[in-house]
Amino acid sequence: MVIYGVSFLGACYILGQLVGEFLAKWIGVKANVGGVGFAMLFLILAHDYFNKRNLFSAEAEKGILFWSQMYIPVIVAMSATQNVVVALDSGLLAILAGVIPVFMCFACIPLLVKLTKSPLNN
Amino acid sequence: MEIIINFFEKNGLIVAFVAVGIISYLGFLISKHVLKNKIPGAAVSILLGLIVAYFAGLHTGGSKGIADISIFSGMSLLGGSMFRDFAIVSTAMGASFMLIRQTGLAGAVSLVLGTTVSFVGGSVIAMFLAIMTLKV
Repeated sequence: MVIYGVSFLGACYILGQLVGEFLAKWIGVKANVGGVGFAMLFLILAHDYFNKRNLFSAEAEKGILFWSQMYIPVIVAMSATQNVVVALDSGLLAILAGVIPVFMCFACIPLLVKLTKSPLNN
Repeated sequence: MEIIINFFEKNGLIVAFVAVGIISYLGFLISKHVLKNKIPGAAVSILLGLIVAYFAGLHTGGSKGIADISIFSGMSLLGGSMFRDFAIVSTAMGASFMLIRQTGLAGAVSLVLGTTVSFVGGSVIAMFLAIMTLKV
């Protein structure tokens, strides 16, 4: 059933976000530290575990895949609810804070390629 | 009119589904016919969302973009942190642990770099700006 997948995803989300909350409390940050990352890790590991034992039906996977396809629409809704007027008013900083980290990450790609041993490299 | 506005406010999330669908449709149309698929439809849709938020912000003077217009208040739920994080987590489904392990060192390093590089970049810009404002 589809709801099994949605429920499974929800459980991973709750566990991961809770770990993020407690980790933040532990290191003294007023935010959620890595909650999404932990949730993803739980989802990958748990899905792998159940899948190997054939306990994950294709129907249940649909419940998770639906939400992964809703990712871009949710981001569109998020972008439509941003405070763009203020972002544009603060001008240079907002643009630099967006552009510079992206280019810094791009600059890391050649370095990462050297680390890979895949056939693509040769 | 009153009835319609009340109805839209009560069914905010569903209105948001319809609104996002329309924005996405326009985004994919522009991507296909105007930009000849050079820029993906998803990116154009997000940009359209930002443009909508800009004009909504000018119109209402609020800080929540289109969600400040009462009939679109459901957009702040669909675009809020709960749905956003839930959808992001679900994208991990396609990833298989075996494949991730095969990426080996490069995969692990890129995971760490992805967060630290953008964090350091943002912090440096923030510090730079703080120094500049202090001098002025």
